[in-house]
Amino acid sequence: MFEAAAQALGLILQLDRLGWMVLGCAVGLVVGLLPGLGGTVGMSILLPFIFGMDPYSGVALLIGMAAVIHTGDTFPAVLIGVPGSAGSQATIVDGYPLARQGKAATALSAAFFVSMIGGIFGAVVLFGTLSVARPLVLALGSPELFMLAIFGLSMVGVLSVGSPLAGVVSGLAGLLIGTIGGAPGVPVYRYTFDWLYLFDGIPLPVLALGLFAVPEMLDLLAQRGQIAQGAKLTGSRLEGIREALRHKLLILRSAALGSALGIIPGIGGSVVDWIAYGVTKQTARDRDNFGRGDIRGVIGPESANNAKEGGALVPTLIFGIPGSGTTAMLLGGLVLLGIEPGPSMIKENLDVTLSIVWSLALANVFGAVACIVCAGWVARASVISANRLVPFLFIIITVAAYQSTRNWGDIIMLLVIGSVGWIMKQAAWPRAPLLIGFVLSLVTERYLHLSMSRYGLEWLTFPGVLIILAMIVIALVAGLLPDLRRRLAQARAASEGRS
Amino acid sequence: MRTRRHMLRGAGAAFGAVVLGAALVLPGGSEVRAAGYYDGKDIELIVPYSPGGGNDTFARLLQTQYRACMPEAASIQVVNIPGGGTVMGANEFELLREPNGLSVLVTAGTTSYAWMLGQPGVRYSPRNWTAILGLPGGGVVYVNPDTGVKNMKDLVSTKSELVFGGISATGLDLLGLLTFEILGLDTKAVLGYEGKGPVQIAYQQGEINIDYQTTPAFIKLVRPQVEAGTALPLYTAGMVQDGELVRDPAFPDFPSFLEAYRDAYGKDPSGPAWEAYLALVSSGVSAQRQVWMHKNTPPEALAAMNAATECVIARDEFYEKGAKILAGYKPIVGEPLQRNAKAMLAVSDDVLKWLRRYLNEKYDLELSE
Repeated sequence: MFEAAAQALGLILQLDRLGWMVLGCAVGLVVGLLPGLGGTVGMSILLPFIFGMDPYSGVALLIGMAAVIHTGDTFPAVLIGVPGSAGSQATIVDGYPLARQGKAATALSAAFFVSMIGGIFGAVVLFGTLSVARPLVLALGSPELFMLAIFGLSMVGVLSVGSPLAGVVSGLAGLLIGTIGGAPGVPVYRYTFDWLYLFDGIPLPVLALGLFAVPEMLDLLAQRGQIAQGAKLTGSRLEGIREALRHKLLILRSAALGSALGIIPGIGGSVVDWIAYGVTKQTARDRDNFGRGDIRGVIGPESANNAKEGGALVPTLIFGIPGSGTTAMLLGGLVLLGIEPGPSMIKENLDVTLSIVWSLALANVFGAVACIVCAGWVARASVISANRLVPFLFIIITVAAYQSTRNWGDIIMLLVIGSVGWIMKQAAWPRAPLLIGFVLSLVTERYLHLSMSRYGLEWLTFPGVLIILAMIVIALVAGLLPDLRRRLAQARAASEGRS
Repeated sequence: MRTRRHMLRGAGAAFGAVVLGAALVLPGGSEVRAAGYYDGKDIELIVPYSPGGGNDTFARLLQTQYRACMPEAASIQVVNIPGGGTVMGANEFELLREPNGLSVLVTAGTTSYAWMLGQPGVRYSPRNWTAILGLPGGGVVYVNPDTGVKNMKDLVSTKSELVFGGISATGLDLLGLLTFEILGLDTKAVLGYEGKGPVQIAYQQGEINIDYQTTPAFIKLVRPQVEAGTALPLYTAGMVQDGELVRDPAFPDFPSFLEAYRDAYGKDPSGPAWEAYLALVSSGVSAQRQVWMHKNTPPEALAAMNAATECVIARDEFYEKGAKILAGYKPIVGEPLQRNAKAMLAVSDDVLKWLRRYLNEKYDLELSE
């Protein structure tokens, strides 16, 4: 295995192949940087060109792109509080407040540094699990996958800043909005009001941009300020890297979590960064600063979401089951290159697989370095006055939303959802759970439907299901207990004070 | 005054010189080929799916080959218009493209099925199109030997529960489902998997035990299991040739569904389910992937496109580059293609009505009857 790896490295380290990788990285960074676009957009840009390329170059190009999207997407998340792609939403929670404190450079470089480590970790995991992946993936049937989706949804309670009830309701609303469009498995269309645009449901970028970007833009304009309040930049790139190095264990833990979650088909995807954030917050000793600019709130998700790409490639390559939208299109790219995912990936096509692993690692390094170099200079955007910045950003956001289906519906929905998002922001209703609910809606319904269809109610007694159920309960209790204890203590103090 | 008139005259002369020069230099002057309909024109191959799927790969293969066979065209591009399964792209081709020969639609079986089954949102109809090229694509029904089934007679008399996994009742899985209906089997259909890949995983996990996989997937994923004894192929969907169901050329050793039925019951199938099955096979198997143009495309365009198509399927590169996507099938053009297209469109309304009612009743759909 190791000599095969060395050989594959030799295949990649050729000038023209590295060139393709760098090109892929460039596309990936730009796609990540522009708010709302994600891996699928990058794939759509590159796929048309790869038919007929030699597989190693083609792989270097596609993986170069996919690997660094979650590096570049930190820029808009930190600087303007807008998700650069589905994987950077959790980074906003602590990253954006840091930028508002003028510490954009710190947040950015910490994020890039841990993204690189996370990405390399993911590549190592991919390499290590290639031979043992089969039994792992085969162990997850429809009931187990449904329970894992519920686990993702249970993170909702943990992440609600404030009332867990509001978080749950928000999550349920997200589930409901996710049902708009076609049902999994039957050509039955729900809540489409006969508008062809809604047949495929609301596109994720439109929802994410509407919920997060539009309200932020509106508020910035209303305050007439800049992103960095006080218009001063403190913090530096070196400080960011130093901060990151202080939390080595957190980086590795989050990377491990990210790659593990990435392996789960369908669930991993956009939810990994939220779960990583939730776990980081829960296992932190002092949590009070989370949501207000705790660097750990940036490190955890950023490490995890780069690591997840490595994990997501496991079911993609070995079974041809995509772990996310990006890997689904990557599959398509592999088909275009004449490579068929499946058992052949670890036998005849092992060299291609290993060149994928190397491309993943190298691209992460390259992407991180490129971003760190630009970070200081790009961070200055946070001191530009909102009056100048926001109109420009608004155009980018609108174009990014329109990219989804190139239909008027995108713009209409962006405005409608933007209004709802703004109202939610003013009323301090948590919006993150809504997004989680939405993202998990299709997957949850699909696996529930399949489980019920196949097993009736029997699946509730499967061992895998019960194990995951225990995990959910533990996670919920661990998350809500300190909060509960605090409320009890407050209530006791209040009643003692009165008496 | 004088100077201005001079200037104007000078400008006019200069302008005239430029126009004259341009007319001499611009294309038309150098390599003149036989003036063709597509000279300097841009052609788009519309794929009603996202990039990377089987249909997209086929379209990109066609793009490279047509590029070589039509050097006079300015460009040939694949344009992906995904959405609504296959409906959005086909709708756009039907409603928003001029019948000027510059737009070509590349469809898969599900496009024709969506139309036949009256899926909501469908605003296109193959009745308005002309077929240019067709690629057959068959599949195999196989079962898990753990069920105790060893042959067709076992299949129709088994007491084991047969569980079928599929994506939806209106896609290619309908072929499998109809064969079970015709055989009188009582299979439990678990529909809603994300793709046939996850279905294959479910088969390996034991979640389902009978499946229909298309040829390339069968060869790659199931054949090793057949050799290992964990999958038993029963029959192929077959192909319709001159109104008869014949064997799939990719699996000359496997019985077609017709032969399998005869094995089980000793007679030929008949009835509305069988008629519907034949109709579905002509539209989704005998020519699974099809290339269409609008019916009222100018005849010169049609002629040019047909000539280019003949050129494409005569090229070695077409078969080399497309080895995986063609999966051993030979493309069909000309008379056989037109006959197949006619067979697809000639499905009687009664059969269609039966099919829709069957799906609505058995699978709880809401197709307009």
